[in-house]
Amino acid sequence: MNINTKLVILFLCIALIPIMILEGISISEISDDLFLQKQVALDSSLISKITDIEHYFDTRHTQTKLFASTFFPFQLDSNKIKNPSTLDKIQIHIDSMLVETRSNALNNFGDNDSKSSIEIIFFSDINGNIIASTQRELIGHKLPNDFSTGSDRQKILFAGLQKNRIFSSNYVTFSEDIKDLDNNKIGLVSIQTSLNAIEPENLRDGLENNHEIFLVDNASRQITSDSSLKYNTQNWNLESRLIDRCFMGDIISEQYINKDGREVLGIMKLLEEGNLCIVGEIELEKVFSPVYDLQFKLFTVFLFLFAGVVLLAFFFSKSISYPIKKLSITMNEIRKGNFNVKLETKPHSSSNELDQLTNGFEKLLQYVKSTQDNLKGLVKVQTRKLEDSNRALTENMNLIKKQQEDLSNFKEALDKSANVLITDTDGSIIYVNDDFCKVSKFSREELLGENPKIVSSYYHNKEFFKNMWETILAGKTWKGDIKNKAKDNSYYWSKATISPLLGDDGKPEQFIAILTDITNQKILEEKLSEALKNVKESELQKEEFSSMMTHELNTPLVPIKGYCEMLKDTDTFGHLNDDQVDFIIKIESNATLLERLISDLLDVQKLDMKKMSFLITEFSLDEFMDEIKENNRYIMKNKKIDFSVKYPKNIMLNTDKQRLRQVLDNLIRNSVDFVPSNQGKISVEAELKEQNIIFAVHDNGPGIPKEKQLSIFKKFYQIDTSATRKHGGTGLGLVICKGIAEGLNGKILLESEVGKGTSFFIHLPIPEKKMIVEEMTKSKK
Amino acid sequence: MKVLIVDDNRDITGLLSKFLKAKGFDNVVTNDPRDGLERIKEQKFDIVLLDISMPEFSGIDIIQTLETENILKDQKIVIFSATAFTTSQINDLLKKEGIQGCLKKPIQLNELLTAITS
Repeated sequence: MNINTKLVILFLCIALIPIMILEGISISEISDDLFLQKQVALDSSLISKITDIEHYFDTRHTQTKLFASTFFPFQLDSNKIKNPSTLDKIQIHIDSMLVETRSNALNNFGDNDSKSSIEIIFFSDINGNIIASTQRELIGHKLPNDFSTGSDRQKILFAGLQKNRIFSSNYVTFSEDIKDLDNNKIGLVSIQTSLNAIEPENLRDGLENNHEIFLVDNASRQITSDSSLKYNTQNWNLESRLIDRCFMGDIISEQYINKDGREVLGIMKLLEEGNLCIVGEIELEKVFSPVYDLQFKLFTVFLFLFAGVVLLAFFFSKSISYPIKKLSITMNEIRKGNFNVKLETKPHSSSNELDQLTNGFEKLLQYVKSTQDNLKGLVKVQTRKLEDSNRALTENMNLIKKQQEDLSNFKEALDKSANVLITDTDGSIIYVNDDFCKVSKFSREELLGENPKIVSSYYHNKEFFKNMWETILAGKTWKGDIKNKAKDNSYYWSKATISPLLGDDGKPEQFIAILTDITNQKILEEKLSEALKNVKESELQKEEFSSMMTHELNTPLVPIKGYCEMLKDTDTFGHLNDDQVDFIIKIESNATLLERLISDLLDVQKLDMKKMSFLITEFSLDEFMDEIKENNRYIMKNKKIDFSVKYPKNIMLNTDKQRLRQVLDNLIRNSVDFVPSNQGKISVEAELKEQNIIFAVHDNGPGIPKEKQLSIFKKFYQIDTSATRKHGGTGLGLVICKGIAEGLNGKILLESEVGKGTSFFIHLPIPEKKMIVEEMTKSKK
Repeated sequence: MKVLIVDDNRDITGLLSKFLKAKGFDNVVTNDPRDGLERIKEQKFDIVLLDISMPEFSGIDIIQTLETENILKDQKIVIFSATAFTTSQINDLLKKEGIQGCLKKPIQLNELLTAITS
């Protein structure tokens, strides 16, 4: 409940409760007074009416007696009555009496109006049979027994004579006995008069209009114009009980629910006749209507007051609670983190405590805001850092997650693809996978708890295992190939990766060995290495063989060639005839060919095995070229070949002289074989060009077709393979030339055109400095 | 001028001996390398013709022995070999003091003559 509500309630309590109490008290007192007053008024009304009614009844009784006395002169007796002439007389008498009554002062009763006048006069015999009447229809009817025989006081008959329409209306009948001279009752004279005089409408005359007054007979029937129908005692128990009590002599003054269902105040009194009760009723609603009016007015006033008080309270409470509420909302906003709220500040001079509070709060808010702004900056920086690290963390987490997945996938893959063995630090097996069991042919039960030595083949030496243990105990991964022995003593090879699984303290807790079966690979490797060994051996043998073969083949050539030479030396060893000389020359030339063949084969083999070695020496180009010129002079002269040598002077070379010579000899020899027998022309030229010395051998031979130029450097290739070829080469010469040129970091080139001759060029590199220096030293000498 | 010819092949020593004799050189022939070594040790020759490729005790062994005994530098030697003359072993030999040259088998007799006389 907020302060606003509380204040309103407080105001209401202070202002309205006393009013309500006062009103309650006054209304109750007013009601009581009013009730009493009305009761008294009703009572007095009743009393006056009772007087009227009793007076009326007395008058009618007196009138009836008067009528009865008028029959005295007829000297009637019980017999005379039966006489029709007497009956006529009686008839005439009552008719005249009625007329007289109506015009007589006797009729001057009440308000002198026709309603209370005598309507009918009738005469009945002792048995109650009506024998004369002013209204002829009644003659022959019989009166009720109790009525005709009753005492004086009860000779009032109210409406309700049976089956007579005339009697059914509101009439009251008064009777008086007719007696003979002996004072014996011989009949009744009755007057019937309208009951209007005591009917409710008449009873109400002179009463306050809220009073209801009526008569009730001893059968609880209300005496009204249609009284017998109107009163139903069964439906009206309460009043009936009250009426019973009334007939027993009590005066009733009580509140009850009347026949119409209304709450009424009723007073009941018994009339002197004893068979009528008068009832006065006043509706309580009507009694209290002034009270209700008052209540309504008070309520209206109360409402206005209430509204006023509420407004006033609201205004006051607002002036107190609004700033508080505003503060509270502001605080709420601040709590939510919104520091941008504004407070309506009042001038500082305000004496209102609430304004001062608001101002103070505003100052506090400003302070907090500025502090918070500072903090915000700080928090922003920190938050960003936190976010960054969070992001990094998330990334790490993802990475770790992925790594875990990879690891788990890896483990699965590992288990599927490799033999896995895990031992504790004592070297006892604590885990093996199915593949390990399969390869080692041990069951898992046989392996668990055992040392991995169970599968040791004792193939590796102690150093091998020592190194392995040192590695993994140091926390590192060991890799190697291990030969193991299965349960059935068969051997198998594994490529092993043994890693320590480190505990939190960084020390190995377990060792995991991941083994891949490489037995087949090892078998292949062994075969391969054996094959390699064989190849090496065979190569070595080949080399030894060729070396030996060269020696053995050359050795017999020494005496052959030697003796041929000696035989040719006719000056020393005597003359031979021409045929003999020719033979000797043929033997020698074939021996020479054989020698060359052996030498070429050996060179080619060396080139193939890349075993050719070179002896680099320093020599003079002049000498070298002179030697070539000199050595070939004889054969060129013999073959009538125009042979020329051309070279720059004073050049020192630094290369393998013998091999270079071999190359040039080879090329020259080829040219000699191919130039025309008459005008053959061969020239050997040396030329310095940039960093190279180029040796060229030109000839005017038939030339080499373009399509065959590439092939001539291949082994055993000869352009002319016919049996009648004039060139007796081995087919290895150019191969060796190319090999030597390249071996000396140079190259061999060919220029040739069919019909125009052939030129071979050998390019060899020479360092320029070296060349110049050699030149200078030479010139100094 | 006195020449020592060391070669396990009798045909070759015979040829060389006859040729040198005909050309006017005194020569001693031995087919046993060890005997050849002993002769070199005993007596200084004007020139020694030494075959490299000999069974059991090769020309190289003789040269090494001479070298270790410090005789090599005083003795002119021409070696000859049937195997390739550019092998590194031969090249090493040629660098040594006393080794005059190397002749490739089959030997050209005029080349031999040149080698001896130079």
